[in-house]
Amino acid sequence: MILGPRVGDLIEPLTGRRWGRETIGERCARRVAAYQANGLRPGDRVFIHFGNTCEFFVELLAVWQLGGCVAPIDPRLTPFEVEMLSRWARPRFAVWVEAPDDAVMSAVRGLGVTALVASEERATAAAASAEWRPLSLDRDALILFTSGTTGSPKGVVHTHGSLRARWMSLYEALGAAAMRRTLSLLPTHFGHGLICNALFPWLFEQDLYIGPPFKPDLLTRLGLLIDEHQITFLSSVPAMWRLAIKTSRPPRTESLRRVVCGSAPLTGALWKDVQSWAGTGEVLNAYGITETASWLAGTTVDGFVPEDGLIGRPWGAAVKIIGGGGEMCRIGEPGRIWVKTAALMRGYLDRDDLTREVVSDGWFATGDIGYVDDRGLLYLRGREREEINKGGVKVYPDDIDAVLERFPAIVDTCSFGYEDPLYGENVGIAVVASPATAATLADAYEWARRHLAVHQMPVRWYLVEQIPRTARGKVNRTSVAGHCAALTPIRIGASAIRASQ
Amino acid sequence: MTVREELIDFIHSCGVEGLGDITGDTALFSSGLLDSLALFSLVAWVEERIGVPLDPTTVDLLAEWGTVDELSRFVETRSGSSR
Repeated sequence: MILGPRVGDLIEPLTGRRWGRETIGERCARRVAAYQANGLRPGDRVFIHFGNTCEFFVELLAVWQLGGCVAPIDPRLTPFEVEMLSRWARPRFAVWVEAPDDAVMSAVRGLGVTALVASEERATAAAASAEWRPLSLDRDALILFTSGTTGSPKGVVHTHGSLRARWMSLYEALGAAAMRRTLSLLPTHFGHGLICNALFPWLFEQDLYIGPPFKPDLLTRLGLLIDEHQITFLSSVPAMWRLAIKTSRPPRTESLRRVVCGSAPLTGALWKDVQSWAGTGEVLNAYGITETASWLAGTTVDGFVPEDGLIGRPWGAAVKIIGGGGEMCRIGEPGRIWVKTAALMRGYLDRDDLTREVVSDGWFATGDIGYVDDRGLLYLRGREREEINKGGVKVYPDDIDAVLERFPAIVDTCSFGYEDPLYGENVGIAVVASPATAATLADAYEWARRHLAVHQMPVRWYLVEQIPRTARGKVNRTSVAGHCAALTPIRIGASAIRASQ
Repeated sequence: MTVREELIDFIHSCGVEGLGDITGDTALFSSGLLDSLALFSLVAWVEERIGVPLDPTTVDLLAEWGTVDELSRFVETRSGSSR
């Protein structure tokens, strides 16, 4: 049964490490003892600053066993962002697998957070009971930060109850048999990667093979990796497939039984290419949002034919489509997608105002546009939210603008998404600077690098004279993106700066 | 301009950073020089040079594109054979 100690093995194909149940139990008991020695109490929040390793999953179980709540933190965040999140969420503990920069360590300690380095904790800590205590379903289990790392963070809080609801609905829709050997190459601070690709199979006693996310050299040998470890299941994002299909030979042993793709639009053409590469027709497109504990619908449809926008049937969710006037849409008529699911988040951390904006009578406004056809299948057609979907990872323009606007020589900014052949979308930015010189932009670029995580960094920079705003001061990012598309981006990366020196 | 010089220029244009000067011996994968987007762009650059789509069933990128020089040789050889 899930959420007990009966988990699958953890394997790191790149390092060759394999932790069986006994090892996981022993290590978990040691981490429980270490947290007890440091005074962790039920309800305490723990920031885990590493991921995609065996240690991450043991840390998660140990914190949960003591009633704590885990926030997996993107290891790529800058010290500035770590401090922002820590100020907001007030974790009792922050844990790294190896000691971080002094600046990060002193910043979090300055906020009263107990900083732990897992590798330095004494292995001789008194052994804790390996017996698994039942978890309270109402207790907070997981916080996933989706935006606001540079300003007012948006932390999605899931309880053990909402997570369990998600896993049970997935079990009902998908079973566990095809996930006997699951490969996870998605980040563990990412709802799709953690809740659905990794924890769902692992907590149903399936073996979990973990690798670093989106590593080019790993993707060039994806077929080999699948064959060597007889992988039966993996989840993924479209950008991963664009690269893998181009650079890796397909698997040869027909071990793959199912593939799920999600987090970004999957075109019918790429879908068919993935089926062909993977050697199975069981390539399912899944739709989900962090707030719904990820996958809430997918292509569990007999004899489906891949097509643009097709998602499929709800998995443990009810779906309704609402028109512009608040009326229910007819079959085939596009509108806003609302969902109701037991896997819905408890709310945004300390932001009841934001929670009220998206949750009404138990229904959640996804911010996506879609329709349901006469077979009851859900299709996606677009989105209303102002986010940039970079290969499945959501980047929020406000986070980027908030950092650039703090730089004294920047008068105004507008970041936006533009079409990218690999990621689907990438990050561009229009900047009004004073003085409007290459040197100003080079300085602003360095400022951004110090404050923004690498995936948030704008790739295309445009110097403009002004950014049009409405009378209410709102910016139309689509219109700015359209204007910039006709301009040549400024070459502003480190190589350009070197060249200009 | 040699293929190697063109390649180095192209890698610079991809915006990869932090490794200083790129030379013929620069490792493409083990150095972490290429992120996913740079690799994807590089594949497109190679395909344009050799005039045919890359066939991953016949090429082991990690082995054959290990360094800037190795990739330059790959392009030179394939460009010649496709003419």
